[in-house]
Formats: sequence, structure tokens, C-alpha cells
Amino acid sequence: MSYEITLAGGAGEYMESATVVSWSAKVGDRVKADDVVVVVETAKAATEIEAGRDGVLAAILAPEGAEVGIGAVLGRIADSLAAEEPAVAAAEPAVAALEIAAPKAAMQVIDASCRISISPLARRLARQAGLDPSGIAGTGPGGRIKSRDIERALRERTDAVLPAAPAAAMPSPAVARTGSAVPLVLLHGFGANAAAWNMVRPHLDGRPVLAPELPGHGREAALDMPSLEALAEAVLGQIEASGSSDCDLVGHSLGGAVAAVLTANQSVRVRSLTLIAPAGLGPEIDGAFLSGFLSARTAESLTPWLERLAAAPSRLPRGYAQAVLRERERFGVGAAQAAIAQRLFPDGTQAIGIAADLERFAGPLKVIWGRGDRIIPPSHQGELPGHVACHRLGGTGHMPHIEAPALVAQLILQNVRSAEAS
Amino acid sequence: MAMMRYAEALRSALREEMQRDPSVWLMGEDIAVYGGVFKVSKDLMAEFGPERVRDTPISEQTLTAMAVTAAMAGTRPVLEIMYADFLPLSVDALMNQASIYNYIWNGQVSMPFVLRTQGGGGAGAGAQHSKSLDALVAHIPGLKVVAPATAADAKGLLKAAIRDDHPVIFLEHKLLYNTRDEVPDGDHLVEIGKARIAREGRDISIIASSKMVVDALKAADELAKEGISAEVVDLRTLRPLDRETIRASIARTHHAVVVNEGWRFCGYAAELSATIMETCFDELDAPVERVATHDIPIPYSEPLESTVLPDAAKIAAAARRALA
Repeated sequence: MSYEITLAGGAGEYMESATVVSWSAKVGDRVKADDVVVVVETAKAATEIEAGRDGVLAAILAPEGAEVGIGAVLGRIADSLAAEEPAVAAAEPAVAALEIAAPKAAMQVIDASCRISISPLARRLARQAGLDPSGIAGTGPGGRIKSRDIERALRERTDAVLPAAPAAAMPSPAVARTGSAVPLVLLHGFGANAAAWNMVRPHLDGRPVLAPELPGHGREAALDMPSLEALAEAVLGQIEASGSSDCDLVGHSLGGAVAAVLTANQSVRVRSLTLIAPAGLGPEIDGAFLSGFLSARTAESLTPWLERLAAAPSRLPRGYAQAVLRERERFGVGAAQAAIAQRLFPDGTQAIGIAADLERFAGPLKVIWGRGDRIIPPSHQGELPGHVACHRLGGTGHMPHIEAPALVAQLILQNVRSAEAS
Repeated sequence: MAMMRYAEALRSALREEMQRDPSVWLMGEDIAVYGGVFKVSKDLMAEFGPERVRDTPISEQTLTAMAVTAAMAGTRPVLEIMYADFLPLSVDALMNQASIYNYIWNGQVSMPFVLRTQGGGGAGAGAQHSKSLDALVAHIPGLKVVAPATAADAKGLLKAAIRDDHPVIFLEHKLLYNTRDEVPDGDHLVEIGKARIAREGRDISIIASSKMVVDALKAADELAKEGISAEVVDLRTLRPLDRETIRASIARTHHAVVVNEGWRFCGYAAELSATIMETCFDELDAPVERVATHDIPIPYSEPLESTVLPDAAKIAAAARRALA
């Protein structure tokens, strides 16, 4: 059991924060109950904080000079250092038998014996993204993990696996031959954003992933003239910026049509193409969904339309409607998406076509469709050329990558391995 | 729309309801000849006569019991208790009569009376004339409790309260009587039990009522200068509480500051905090921050009083802590 050294919050809201002036012990030093261990200074006075029990100062969470909020945990006292620090303990054969999973992040090193401190929202976001929060450093008070830390970790997970532009100048030939540095590029559908792939990503064998956002979606700026070609060009720019010269391309719905157009580009080679319920294979599309989705202003009016996306609405992530509305409010994507719908799907009709692009594409090509798709009819699969592998998923609607993420990931990887083998 | 002071809006509501329904009448200490210490009932005795606008002796306990029986007898009394600090004298009639008769007599009696009172500090009125006792009345099942922050809501909620067949405690604030804003023309009613978004924002929800809404809006202005977009939820009704508006706001902002001018310990802000935890725990990105009055008698001295009461700076500081 460890004891937390905290900044008591007796004054509540009337004292904002304090600054740590000095620690009178180092990590590992023995301390006794009622000894002063740390001095903090508020706007009014310096305060000495005493150890609450005997033990070893096991962790200093707020170093000297740090500004801390009321109630913040400044450090911990434990019975011994070993109990508190598995990183040290694991190195000793005597305790190696405990088989403590290799601690990989600073948080765990300091704090493995305690529950992690994480906000409810951050915990939920991490679970939805298939992310283990225990390795993430929290930036909230007392090291609490907040939603911004999860968002940063997800961004870094994307960025880390993709070399920055200059690094592309020195790719390892071995890596290039085996193909393991070729990223999977995932293109989301109309009205979605890169988070649409959060359910699939944990199943992709740790392959490098790039999830660009379409113009007028997520944080991407809108285009004045959002033609299908212009959308593809904008996405191509994002792929080029990553420094990749090859990619495996996956696209859902409108992202599928964009992916099909991208196969013809001259700068990044598309090795394999996996399309999920792609747009552009026939005139039919659920026009009522498009207009209902675009005009809904509240979670109550948006939810019935979102539920049409899935065969079983319970498979959709919780808070989906709120997330869509929040993105509209924060980034103003509503108008941009209306302009895209107006141009590509006027009067509830698909005014785009990708059959010719697919006819030309010679690499491995799969098209996945949910049998229960109510947005774009699964019968559009019948229009595909003969070299395309068609998968029809029972019990899924327009969102197989959310409704059946493990299976969709498996099909994507089959396609990718097929490209690597050839 | 007409520009109106909060006190004028209340008077306008009383006048319109008395014109509309002859069973509506007023009573209270110094409300008739003098027109009330905050002049809310000024000139109403001249218009409606001393039968319908009655001065009473100083005896809040008796007055409240009279209002209960007058309501049971089929009239619609509007009782003014001069200071919320005197509400404890009314509590027996509220807790053991008004709030339970409908229940124990199986719905055979209705209880259409309104108890108007005003509370709050900041006027240097001392420990016996500055309290906010929201939690004391909001605690009692069977009572409705409203606390308008604007002139428009003061009028619309008072008219709705007078027409309600259940007892309504109508909490005004002494520092709001002279605030002015636009009041809709015509028969303006505001539904009891519905909060409003006083200011939209995306980073944090500040949930307040009565004069604390004014302070919350000032805090939001301060925070905006730092790039923080604060949403202000004006509860308008303390009971029944509009949980859905609170939940929807926090689902957008993921951070909350709850504010109430009553004492902190066992106060109304604690109820808000618990409600948020129960309805939207998974939306929270930080613990709920609570801003309320220190747990001591309200001092007379201005520097001491302002130290004890919540204000815009304390609300802004709480918002910064939640967003840290």
C-alpha cells in the first residue's frame, strides 16, 4: 500500500494553485510520519507538508518549480522502493518470476502499484479506439489522463508509423522489398472522419496506417469546388506528405470512390485496393438519409438517420450523434458536406462513376458489402468487373468496418498480403 | 418586446394574472399600502382594492398556513415573504401541509399558491438578511421551486407559477430587481421545469441559477479572453430539475462547473454535482467543480462578504481548474 502526499484542498475554490518550492527527501530516502517532506508556496504563504506515515519516498510526481492544483498528488510514500517500482524490481532475478509485463511508459514505472488516473471520457475514448491507456502519460492535474492525451496518443500512433517527409529519402531497401513499410491508407466515408477506422485499426497486425481526412471532414478545410477528382487530389497530397511512394488503399463509401480515382495517380503506387460499400457503382443512394443527416441539428433528430447506417443500431458507437454535431460546431464542416452532397449526389442520385477506374486497376481488388446496407444498395456489386473479389457480409449494414471490424480487417490484410506476394 | 426592470416584470405578471383570474390575490408584510420593500406590488392595491392586496402582521408561520388553507378553499393566493432568511418560519406549513396534502388525501385537494421571497448577498445586509436558502425548499418533495435570472423569465415564470395547481416557491434576488432586459409582449409564459442555454460554448458548462447566472456570464466573458469557450446553463427551475439540458450540455463540453449562492455543505450545488455524475459520468473529462458560499454566516463587512460569496472570478478560476 502506498500513501499519497497531496496538496490539501481545505480552501476549496478560493485557492487556485500552489508552486512546489522544495523537496526535503529524494526518491528512495526513508521518511517518518510528521517529518516535513515538501514545501509549497501559494499566493499567500509557504506551507510545509508532512509525511502522513513512515516509509520510503517512492515517487515525486510534482518536481520543484511545478505548479499544482488543489488536491494534486505531489508524491507517494511506500513501504519499500521495490514495491513501488517494477522497473527496478523486474531487473532482479528474485522477482522476475512475477512476470510483470515489461513496463513501457513512464507512468507505469512511477505508478504500477496504483490504479491509473484517467477521466471517464478519456477511458471511454481509449476503449473505443482499442488503445491501452496504461502506457499514456497524463497531462491533467496529478498526472490524470484526459481526452486530449488519448487524442494525442492516437495521432502519434498514426504519425510514428509513417516516416516524416525527409525520412523518405533514405528508405531501407530490405524493408522496401518485404513491403512492411508500405502504409495502409484508410479513407473514411461521407460525413465521417478518421475516427471511423478506430474499430478496425487494432486488428491490422500493427501495420503502419495513414488515415487522411476528406476535405470538409474532420479537421480538413473545405474545397470551393468539391469534385470527386478534387477530393482525390487533396487526399493524394496528404499521402505524398507522408513520404510514401507505395500504399495499400482502403476506402469506405465516398472514400471508396475517392480511392478508386486515386488508383490512376502518377506519384504514389497503389498496390492493393479494398473497397467497402463504395459509391460510384450505380445511380441509387438513400437521398432521404443524405438530407436528413445534413439538416439534423440535434442528437434527437440526427440519431434516427445514423441508425439507418447499421443493420443493428446498437453496434454504432455511443455518443455518435453528439460527436457528429460537435465536429460541425467546432470545425464548421456542415456547410462543406452539404456542398459535397449537392455536387456528387444531387437530388439523391449518385452522379459519379468508378467502373472504368476499377476496370483498369490490375492489383488485388476486393469489394466488401453488408447485405443489410440501406444507404447504397448491395446489388451494385453486380456491376463489378470479373477480376474483383466480392464479399457479402450478413448481419451488417453500410458500416461493415464498424459492425464487423475483425472480419473486415482480415479481408484487408488478405488483399495486402496478396499484393506483397505478387 | 419591452425593456423592463426585473421588479417591473414581476409586477406586470401579478397585474395580468389578477386581471385574468379574480381568484388571484396577494398578501404579505407591507405589500399593500407601501407597495412592498422592493416595490414589486406598487400601485396594485389602488387598482385591485384592499380585499385582493392585503397587508398582514409580521408572522410568517401563520401567513404560510393561511396561504395553504386559502388555496385549499379554492383561491390562488400569492404570499410575499420579505426575506428568504425568514423562510424557516414557513417551513412547517410547507413541509407538513402544503407539500403533502394532495398526497395524503389522494389528490382530492389542489394547492395553487405561490410563495414569493427574495434572498442573496452582496448588498451588505448582514447575516439575517443575505441568505440563499435554495436547498432548504428544493429538498421538499411536492414543492416546485423556481429562481429566474432575467426580467423575461421573472414575468413568464411567475405567471406560470400562479396558474400552477401545486405550491410553487418563487425565489427572487435582491440584486436582480434593478437589472433590465427585454420582456416579450403579450401573455408571456415560461414553462416550469425547463432550463435555458444563456450562452453557448464548447469547452465547459457553467450551471447556475438566479443572480449566479449573471456572474457566470461575466466569468464566460473573462474566459473568452483566454480562448476558453464557456457555455452557461440557466436552470430557471430548481425543482423539478431539467436533467436533460444539463446532460446534453456536458455531452458537448465534457467539463462542468456547478454554481449556487447557498452554502456549500449539503447545498444545491452538491445536488447538481451528483446529478451530473449519475446522468453523464462517461462524458466527464475532469471532476465537476463546485462554487458556493463559505459555510459561515454572511458577514456584514463588505470585504468579508465578498470573500465569502461566489463571484465571476471564483467561477472563472473553477473553470480553469476543470480544464487544467
